[in-house]
Amino acid sequence: MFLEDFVVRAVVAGLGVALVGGPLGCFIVWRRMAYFGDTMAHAALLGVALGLLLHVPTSGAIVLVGVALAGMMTLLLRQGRWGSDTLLGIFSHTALALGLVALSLMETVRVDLMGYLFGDILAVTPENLMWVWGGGIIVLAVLVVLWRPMLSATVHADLAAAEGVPVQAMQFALMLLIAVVVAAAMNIVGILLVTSLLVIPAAAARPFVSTPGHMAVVASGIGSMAVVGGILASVQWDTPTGPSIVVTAFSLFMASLLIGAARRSR
Amino acid sequence: MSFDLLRAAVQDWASHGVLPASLTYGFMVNALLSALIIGPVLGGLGTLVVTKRMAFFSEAVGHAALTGVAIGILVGEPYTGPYGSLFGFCLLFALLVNYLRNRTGLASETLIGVFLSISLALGGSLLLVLATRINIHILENVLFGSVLTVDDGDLTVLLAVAVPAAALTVPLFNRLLAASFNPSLALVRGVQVKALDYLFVVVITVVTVASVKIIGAVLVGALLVIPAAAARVLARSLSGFVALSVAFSSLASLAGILLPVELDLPVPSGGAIILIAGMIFFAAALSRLALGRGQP
Repeated sequence: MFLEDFVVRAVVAGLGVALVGGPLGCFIVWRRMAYFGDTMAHAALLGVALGLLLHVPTSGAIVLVGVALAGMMTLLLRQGRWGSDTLLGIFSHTALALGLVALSLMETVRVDLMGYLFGDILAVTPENLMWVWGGGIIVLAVLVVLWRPMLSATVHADLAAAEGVPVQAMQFALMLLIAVVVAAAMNIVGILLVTSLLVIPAAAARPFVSTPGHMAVVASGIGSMAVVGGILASVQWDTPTGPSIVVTAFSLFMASLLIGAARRSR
Repeated sequence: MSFDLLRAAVQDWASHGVLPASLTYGFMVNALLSALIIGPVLGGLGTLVVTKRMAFFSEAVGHAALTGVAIGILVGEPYTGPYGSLFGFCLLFALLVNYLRNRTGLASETLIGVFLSISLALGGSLLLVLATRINIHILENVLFGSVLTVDDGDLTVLLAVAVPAAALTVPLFNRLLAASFNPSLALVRGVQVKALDYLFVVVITVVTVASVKIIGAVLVGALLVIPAAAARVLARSLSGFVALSVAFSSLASLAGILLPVELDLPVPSGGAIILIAGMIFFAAALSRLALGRGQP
């Protein structure tokens, strides 16, 4: 029963997300962008609504919404009038509400809202797989190429700027990469939970690593364990897939928290 | 209950055409009353949430309500109002996150993100499983709010939470603000920064949880942020900031509840309320940008 087509597809797709999610999640944790990731994910519902309205592929619409969100954040943050968390609170909820209202007004389309919100293992089609791995390879390639400047912009923005690293552009690139991963992973874990695949493994990796590159690899590993464990558990006990993956990731996180605490007290 | 008198009066005005005709329905009056409680309280507290940069925290507390409801239904509380487990779980969640904030070596943003995810995942999966057994719409109502089922019990809970919350926050407002602007100075002046911090966490938690039924677990954090952010753009003084925030939040809740019914649109109340609040924010931001970059 574990070798059914749809299970294999879901695992392959989930592994794709977990592999990219490792390094990307590390940047999110280092740069304290967890709320931004969450906002990007919430805004994906608006992308879904736009995709259905304009008859364009959902993943494309989500990336577009992500680009708009990243642009508006950059623009409004420069005003210096609001804290970034306030702006994110506004964008994440307004975009979600807009998507929700638009979806409920579309009488001709019956959408599986819960499938979008919490993920649907059956919805992983071969086309999704293409998106996940295609998008994943692009994101990984960009991360590899930009690894050094992104890292130095994260560690010490002023120093990096003095060395000629375009700090603002790096921040913007990171936002776009998050949008792409959200769009690719949305079907598997769902809009509400997609950032957990980025944040939780990276947070869990922290006690075990000594260098940034090492942390990225360990995070990918923990993410893969969570994906495989979660999907198998969901097939075994007939629980929703997305939440099962997150619960698995969370138990790995708690284990890592305890191990970290035990090490510190020694 | 005393709500009967109030309801009868409003229904009477509505039937005479003084108020919108939809208010002849009892449940609409209930919804209206709840909006009149939620709006001012969330708007007023929102000024502190925005100043203290607790937007992500308040969103996480709202999301925790999902698990609270799920546990309530599991242990056999009525699924229209599982307040025992709702308050119990959310308070536990909020206090735990606040306690762990500076103790794990993780940035508080990351920690909140992790706990927000797990409460959504647990609550979502429990409710998805339970909903197929009881009523498929439960989950949607919990996530995005539903005004149609607000009864006297819900109104009583709202009042019982809102009145003490306001009574506690108003006299402590200046001290709470001072503690957020400059904690060390406030500490020197004898302000109990830590105790105030926990008190504030408890207040926003209970108020958020009591509003979940109307606005929904996913969107409830928004009324603590958006009206206050809009007010901050326009206000020229602290009192103006609070007053505008209260006004915006009340306007959004009232319009969000009445408009969909008046226009006969199948939109969840939470979605409508937050969308209107968002429009107010963007109108405020645009007008400020258009009027030049003068100091607020």
